[in-house]
Amino acid sequence: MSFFRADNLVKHFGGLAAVNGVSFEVNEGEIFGLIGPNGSGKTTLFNLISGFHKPTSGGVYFMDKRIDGLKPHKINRLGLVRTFQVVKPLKRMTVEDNVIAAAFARAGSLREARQIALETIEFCGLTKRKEMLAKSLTIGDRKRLEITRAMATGPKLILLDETFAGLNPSEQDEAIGLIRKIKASGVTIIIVEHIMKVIMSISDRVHAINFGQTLTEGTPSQVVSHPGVVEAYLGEAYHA
Amino acid sequence: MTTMGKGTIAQISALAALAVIPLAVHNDYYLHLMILALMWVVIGSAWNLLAGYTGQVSFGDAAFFGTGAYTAGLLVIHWGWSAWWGLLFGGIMAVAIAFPFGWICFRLRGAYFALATLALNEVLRHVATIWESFTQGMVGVMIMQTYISKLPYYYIALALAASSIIIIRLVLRSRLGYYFLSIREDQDAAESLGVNTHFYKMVSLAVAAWLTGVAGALYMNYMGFIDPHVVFSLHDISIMAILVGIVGGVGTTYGPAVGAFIMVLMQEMFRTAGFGYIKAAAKFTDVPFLISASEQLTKGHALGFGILVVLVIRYMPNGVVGDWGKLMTALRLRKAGTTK
Repeated sequence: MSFFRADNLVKHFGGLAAVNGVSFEVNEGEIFGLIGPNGSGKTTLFNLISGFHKPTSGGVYFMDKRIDGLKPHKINRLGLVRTFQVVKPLKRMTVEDNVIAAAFARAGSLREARQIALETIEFCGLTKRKEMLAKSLTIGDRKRLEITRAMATGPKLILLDETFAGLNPSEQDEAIGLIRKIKASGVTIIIVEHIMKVIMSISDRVHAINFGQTLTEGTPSQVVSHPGVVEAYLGEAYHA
Repeated sequence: MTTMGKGTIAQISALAALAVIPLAVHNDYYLHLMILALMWVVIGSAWNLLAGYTGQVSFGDAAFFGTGAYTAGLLVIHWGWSAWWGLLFGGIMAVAIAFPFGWICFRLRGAYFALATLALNEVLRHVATIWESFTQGMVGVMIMQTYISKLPYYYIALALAASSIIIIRLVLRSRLGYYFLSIREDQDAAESLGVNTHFYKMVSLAVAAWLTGVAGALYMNYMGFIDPHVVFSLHDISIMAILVGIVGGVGTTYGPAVGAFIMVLMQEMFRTAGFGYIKAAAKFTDVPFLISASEQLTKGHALGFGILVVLVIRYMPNGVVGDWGKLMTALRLRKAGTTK
């Protein structure tokens, strides 16, 4: 039995194969990094896993259940939640209301949802911002809200899509702390990331793709020394 | 907490004022306008729930209004029931149309959905016109009104208006309200957070259709006569519902209530050419310009509404209630300017 498995996923957009035969398994409790250059198919892979796209062929299995083709809200209820690379705050709602809306996924009443929301906001360190409208948050806080909302639905597996893009170094360190905290709370994480420093420091295992196909998979140090990765993703400079 | 208390006091006193108005005002004409305005509070609030809070703009509210009205009327004609059953079954019938319609058409987003509601409006109007054996076609449906006095209608309309606002407030404080808002703000985000967006849009439409259908049934009871062009009217019902919402304030609880009174007044002003004052002035002064002006004003009511919408969207995009603060500052500034 595997916790999460993507099996030979293929996605065509017209004549273009955005994802072309990618397979990987994720173990419960680990942080699984997904790397690849721009346009290599990472976000498409996320869309396939979270139900926003239907794979052309192949399957997605979560806790021994086939989930590809299910609607995103059904996948969410199974305990798999995603964040968006281009954050989607509910702009004209407060931070607290944003998280309450998400917390209803596992709450019966508004009181219960508010309780869960406040705990999650505290956990993710947004307490000072909870009264603010989501549209007036800085990009760093918007990314944090994105994660907070996802956590409020009570996931077993969370997909983080380029959470670090656009953050300054100190915000990056805070975000690394938050992700470690999420892992420590028992939630499994798949993370797409560009920033090598981040992915290398927090991932247990890394899967590298390019042109929609697998390059290699292994520990961060194994992957970073793989010649294909060095060439395709890190460029010649890293080689030297 | 004190502001909340203030709000409650304001609400109760507004309701109390509306409850005693007919005891002070014995004029049937003003009472008639008040009944219409209260009916529009119901329709406007319903439109606002769907468009203002759930983000799904309807151009075809008359579909549900007409369904409610016809249900009430046809219960009398075909089965000899009281038309008051329409308040129950008119709402149910409107939901019965809204649910499958939503199931099919909520695959469309934004303007495309709005166009689909417009089509529903037109389809139902044609059905009511053509299906003569059942709806009596263009002849329309005439029933005996229960009361001669306008007072009972006034209080029923007031009860419906107050209930619809209470219902919307309750909805907004529940799971439904949070889901509706999240759908309005970002459908994909809502979906990823576990909201069945398709289903909850249908729920929002169903609640709106139900309230609008009930308002239609009230109209049948009150007016005693309907025909397809009146109750399925695109500009007098569907567009009017949008105007009530926009002028009052989209996405505000009391916006449609305020918008309803403003729009009914506006409509009446155009219909009667300045409540008949311009005509009276023309007769009195014998100035031919005033006579033609009053005629033009009556004819130009659609144009007048159009200009009003342009002005509201340009200067108060959040409506009278949503931009109340802005409106007050503007007035205060002007006052300060004149005293200088």
